[in-house]
Amino acid sequence: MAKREGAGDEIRLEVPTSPDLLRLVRVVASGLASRLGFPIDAVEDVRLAVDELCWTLVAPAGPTSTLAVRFVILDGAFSVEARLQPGPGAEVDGVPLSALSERILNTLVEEYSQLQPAGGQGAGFRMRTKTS
Amino acid sequence: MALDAARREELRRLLDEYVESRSDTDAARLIEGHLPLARHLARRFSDRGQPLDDLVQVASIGLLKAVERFDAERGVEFATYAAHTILGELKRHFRDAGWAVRAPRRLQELYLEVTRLVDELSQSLGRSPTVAELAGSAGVTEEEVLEALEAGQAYRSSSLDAPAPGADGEASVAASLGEIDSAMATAEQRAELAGLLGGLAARERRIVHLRFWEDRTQAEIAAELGISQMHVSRLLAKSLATLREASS
Repeated sequence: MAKREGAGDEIRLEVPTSPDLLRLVRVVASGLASRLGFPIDAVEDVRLAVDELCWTLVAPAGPTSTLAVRFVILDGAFSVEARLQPGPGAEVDGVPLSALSERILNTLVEEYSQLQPAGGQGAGFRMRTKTS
Repeated sequence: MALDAARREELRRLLDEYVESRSDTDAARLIEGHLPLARHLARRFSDRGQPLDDLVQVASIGLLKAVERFDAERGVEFATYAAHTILGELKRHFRDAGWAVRAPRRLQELYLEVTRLVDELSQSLGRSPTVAELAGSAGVTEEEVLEALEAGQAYRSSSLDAPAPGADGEASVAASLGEIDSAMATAEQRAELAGLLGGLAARERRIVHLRFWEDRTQAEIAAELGISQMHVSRLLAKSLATLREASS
């Protein structure tokens, strides 16, 4: 761990849309937050937020789809972009956030937005963590 | 668990005697007769890092409850009813203990250590510690701390079964409605959310409300409720998993 990540660095992760595998996304998210020096409660916030967003995408998706997650390091924060790559026959529609999810994200992250399906890519979300 | 005919007959006799007398002596005999069932069911949970003896204890409590509550009029076999009650008790035990995930013992212990250190370092530093600081104090790597946190969060708790609703039933739902206030867009959304929150235990509902409606920090909530910050964190994660399960 000699090199600390710099702004602009990017990490990409692709996982099958299985709720069990969201663990991998959470681990990367909390690992990044940790390396950026976030205090432990902020690390927990990031993990909850990423879990909430990814779950919203993964739960209705068929098991044949893939979740593509892109983390981009910003200045003292990072963004997370998660998009469904629909498998054969899977839905490509937008995925609405529940009122509860919105409430949770409003508390936990700096900003978030929905990404509409485009160019063969499914629906997704983008969020930016609070600054450490 | 195949029971031979004689044994089955013996258990049926014990049950009949108990249903007739409802005496403590007959209850004790009935419990003793069904202990193998309790042990059998406890063993099914033995890969979750808790001593089998403890689990048998929990299962026995479930068996005791089954004996106390059994109603022969309902036409359900006692063994079926008891198995159901014992499993419920075991599941509740894991849910309350927060170890629904099958975390290796090493990670469970590290998680408890980190829980302690978060409070200790928060005190001495006057702020929430970083993962690097926690790792340094625990003498492990940052990755190990993160792994322990992930293991300790009981994200999978909802896969066991639904939570026991708030003991206060309808009153709790009404209280939730009051808590949700006008921040929610429509009456329909408010009612739906109140129903969801009503499915949480009172303390968890309070924590969710303080965190997401009052925007209080985990440390503030921990201080108010007199529990550790990591406990708040774990209960939050668990509550969200429960709410998610209930709404899907």
